Amino acid sequence: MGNTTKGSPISAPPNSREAQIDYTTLGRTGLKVSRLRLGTMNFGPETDEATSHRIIERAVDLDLKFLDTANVYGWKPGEGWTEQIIGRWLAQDGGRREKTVLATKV
Amino acid sequence: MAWARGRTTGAVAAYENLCCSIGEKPADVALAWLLHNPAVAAPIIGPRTIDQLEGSLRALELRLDGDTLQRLDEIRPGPGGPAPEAYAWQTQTWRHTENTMTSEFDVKDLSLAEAGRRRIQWAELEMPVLRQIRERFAKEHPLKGTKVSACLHVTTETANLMRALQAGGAEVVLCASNPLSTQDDVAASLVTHDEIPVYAIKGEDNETYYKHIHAALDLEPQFTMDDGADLVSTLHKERRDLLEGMRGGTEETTTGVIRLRAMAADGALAYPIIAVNDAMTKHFFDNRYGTGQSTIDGIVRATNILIAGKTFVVAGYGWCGRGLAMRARGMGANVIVTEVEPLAALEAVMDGFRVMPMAEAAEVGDIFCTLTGDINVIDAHHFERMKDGAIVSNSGHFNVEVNIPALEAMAVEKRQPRPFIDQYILKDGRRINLLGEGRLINLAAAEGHPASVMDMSFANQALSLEYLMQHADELENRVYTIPEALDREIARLKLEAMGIRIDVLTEEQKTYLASWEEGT
Repeated sequence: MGNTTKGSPISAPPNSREAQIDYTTLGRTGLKVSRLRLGTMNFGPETDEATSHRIIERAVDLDLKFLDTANVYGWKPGEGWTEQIIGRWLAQDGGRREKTVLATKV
Repeated sequence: MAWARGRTTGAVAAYENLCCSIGEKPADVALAWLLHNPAVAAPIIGPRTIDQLEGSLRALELRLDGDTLQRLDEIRPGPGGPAPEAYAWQTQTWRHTENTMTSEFDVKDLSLAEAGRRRIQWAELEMPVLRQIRERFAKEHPLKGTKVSACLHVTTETANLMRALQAGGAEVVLCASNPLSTQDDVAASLVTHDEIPVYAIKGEDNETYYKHIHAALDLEPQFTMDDGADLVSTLHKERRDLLEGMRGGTEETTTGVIRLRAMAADGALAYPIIAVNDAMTKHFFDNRYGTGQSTIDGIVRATNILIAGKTFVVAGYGWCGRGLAMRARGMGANVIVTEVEPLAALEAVMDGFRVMPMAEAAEVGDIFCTLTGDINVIDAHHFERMKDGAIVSNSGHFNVEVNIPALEAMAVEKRQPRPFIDQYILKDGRRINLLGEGRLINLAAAEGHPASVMDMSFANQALSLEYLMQHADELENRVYTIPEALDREIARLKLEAMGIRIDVLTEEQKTYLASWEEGT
């Protein structure tokens, strides 16, 4: 299982209001990513979609713009559930995809 | 952290004490510790609520001083050495472990695993010799540390062989030796229950078939286990970089032995091979009783015809042909044998069969089956003479014994009246029924040899591998016959398992047999 990261390089974060989230360059990809990554394993089976979306929004608000998911998340009730929740959040209004880096596993 | 038990408990307690002494929550310290490590790009948090998300932010503000970091390293030492190299090494180790956990395989459907396991266990009941070998292997680990790529029919019996090799300490990967012979439930069970990587899907196309052979070779084996020599020939043609690491191999079937002997004669064979097929406990039993019964089984399952009273043409009077002719006669067929070897043909005649050229047999046969190892044994000019409704099948290893392209060219229409039957309609309206696409019918439409005969064949495989493990470096790059003592031992074990006792020579008899002086 490879760990692939898809996304366009984003520039250094704008001023953050609360805790300082550092950024780093991910391997040799040239992607700048926050040093804290938002894992989404609980989105769907544990956390409902509306709350999941609020968590993502709050994270982005805090400059934590690096999301981590996997094709199997959603687990028994339905693999892919988590990716769909993230997908619907990204699709909501323009620019979300460009502002975030999304890592998944295939 | 109540879940931590045993050896880790002490470290966890020390860690919690440390966190307590600096007045921080264990989770925050853990995250901060990771963030202090330059080799860690971005640790992942998994909040379920916004509160948990915001709680994680404390770690970002937390600066661990040198003393605390040193104490953390004492409680839970890292890999040692400078970052990121030391951690990169750890990543590699982990990946290797993941591979042996069979995250990579290609089977039809893992949900079939449970059904596969039940059938594997059923077959094991009929494989007492292999079971005894597996039990010994599990104690002695004679194959410890070795890597084996196997290309065999993926059946319940093969599954038991793979389990025996694994018990012996070998790392095993299995791919199919025929695109149609795979039992998908068995493949699923090997992956799920035994963590053996399997690359085999029943009905896979030729491209996938060879992709699977390459996947099996990716293991970088020291030994190959073949059934038809596809693995060995792919290795010699396309993966020559792996030849250096090879120590030996085994070959299961007549067709493969013919190919390998040709390679050895050309000086092309790069490592020694033991021809399991040449063991008497293999071809006397597997080829004769196994092929004999299972070929009939395949033809009957595919067609549901009555054998009694039919004219049954058997092409080739080798061990497989003998077995089929004998069983077909037993079921009431009128059997004709075709041959090219005078000696074998004479034997067939003395065994009570009619013998004639295929061109003549073609006119009278109801059912045809080829078991020769050669190409175009049934050809265009034979199809031209066949009766309406003739049934044509092959039980030789490759689908070349019946000239299918010629049949395709002659046909004006092709139908499928039942699974495993392609009915070719010729210009004059005659129907020729080809079974299982001309692939070996006992595996295509039935289940291959019954477990009891495979017990001996695979006991030979397992013991040959053990022999190679000990002696491969003393052998030349050619095809070897199984040592006779090994053969006799397998026969003895089989009899013992069947509960059959035999006489032993008296001293007087031994002396008599060893003496050339005594006559009448």
